Amino acid sequence: MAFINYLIHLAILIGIYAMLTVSLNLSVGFTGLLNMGHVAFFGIGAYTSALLTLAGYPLWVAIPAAALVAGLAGVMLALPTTRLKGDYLALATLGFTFIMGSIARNWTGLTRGPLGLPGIPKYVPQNETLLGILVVSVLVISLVIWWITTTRFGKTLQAVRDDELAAKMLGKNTFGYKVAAMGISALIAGIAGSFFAHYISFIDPSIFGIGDLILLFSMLIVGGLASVPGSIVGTAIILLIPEPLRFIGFPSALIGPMREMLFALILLAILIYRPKGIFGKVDLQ
Amino acid sequence: MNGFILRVYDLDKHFGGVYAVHNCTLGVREGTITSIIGPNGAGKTTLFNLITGILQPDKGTIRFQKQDITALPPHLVARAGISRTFQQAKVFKNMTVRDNLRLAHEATDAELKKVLDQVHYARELDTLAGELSYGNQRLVEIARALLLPHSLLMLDEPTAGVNPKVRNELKAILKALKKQGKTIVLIEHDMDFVMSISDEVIVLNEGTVLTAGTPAQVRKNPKVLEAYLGK
Repeated sequence: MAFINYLIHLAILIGIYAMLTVSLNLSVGFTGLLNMGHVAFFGIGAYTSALLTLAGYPLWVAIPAAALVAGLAGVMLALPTTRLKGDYLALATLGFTFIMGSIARNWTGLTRGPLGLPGIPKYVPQNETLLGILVVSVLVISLVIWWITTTRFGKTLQAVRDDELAAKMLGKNTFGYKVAAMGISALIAGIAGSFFAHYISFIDPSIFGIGDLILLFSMLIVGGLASVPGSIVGTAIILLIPEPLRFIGFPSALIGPMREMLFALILLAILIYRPKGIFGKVDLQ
Repeated sequence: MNGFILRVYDLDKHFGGVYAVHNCTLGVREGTITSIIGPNGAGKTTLFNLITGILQPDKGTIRFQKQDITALPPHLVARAGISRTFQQAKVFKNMTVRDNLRLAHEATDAELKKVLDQVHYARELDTLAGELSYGNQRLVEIARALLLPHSLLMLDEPTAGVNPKVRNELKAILKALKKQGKTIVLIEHDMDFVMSISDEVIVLNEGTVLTAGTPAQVRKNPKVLEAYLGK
């Protein structure tokens, strides 16, 4: 029974991170924005949902609010930064993640700072039920993202990724498209954040950590840019591959560094043997 | 004689201490093929970038169909009716030829094939644009520019990097487009190409119009003969 609970726990984490990676793929893989602010949107969604439910608001208010606040943060971040390109955009959005982490640590009146927020109510008491909800949610969100990429709007995002200037010369207001992509991407990250906060029942400022950002990009790169199924498969691979280390009997002090080494090896193997990732459609540039 | 569809007045653009375009004044007549020639660094592509809003001029005015487009960003210039191609073919490499074309204009496959036939493109619509030869990418880019609703077509070195067969096809395409009443401006280094299809040739030197006229007039201009045609 404990093993089944462990498998359900893993499946829930895969679901939450798959939602996050699929949404990251919209801004990075489909639109070409090197967006390092994604964990910040995840954290904003988690804190919004947690704070509202701890204040007594029902989940049907907290979850949409988490999505909207994160989505709005995405738009607000995109407005001044999407005129930047490549590394500059990455640095600016990474800075946003650090700032959000700093706010979560220092606005103790609201977030309790490093003490975090304990006792966040669960969506549902049974993890099996949560897994069911999560599977449906990931499926719906993945289908929505896939559908977006097949529309004229989605094709324009891909054109912006491939050659922004050429897209402009086709009459496309590329700035508006990039802001919209970041907004939608952040909105879904906010939902994933809400799922995470209510599943773990505790969040603290470490949710804005760079470790999760590296993990997310590893999932994205392994699964492949501009592929919705790739994001899900990449998430599962990155989360599952280090798991056997728990059962081999290594000292716990070694397991952490070994996980990092495994991620590095997987990334190197992907970059050497399959530069587009497993299902990717776009070269890593 | 046809009226002007595009007029450029006293245009200046400098980078650091160097003027790429300086006191540039010219006009393009509706329904004609106008070629802009000049040595490397004469400011031809900069002039194209200024007209299409990619660069903003330091001074001067650009009027297109009587509308002042000087300060417009590229997407609004495109919506105003100017379609262009680039010196290096700019296709959306990770997208199919169909998607490349449909971004310019929502059309059926039959309509897309008609335009592709017009530019003598023989590959499938489902091919990824990045997998095409450079010559075919150039043709797709031209087809896309044609599909975008426009009144003026601007082509930056359309024959650069393409084989002689495609070059001859391009010549035929441009002549056919002119017959349809299209206005075309092109930057070109191939003098035979320019002289055989142009109604008007504008010679740029150091960002300034050196002379303008019919191919025959430009050919006879001593300054041009000396500086550019080497005759």
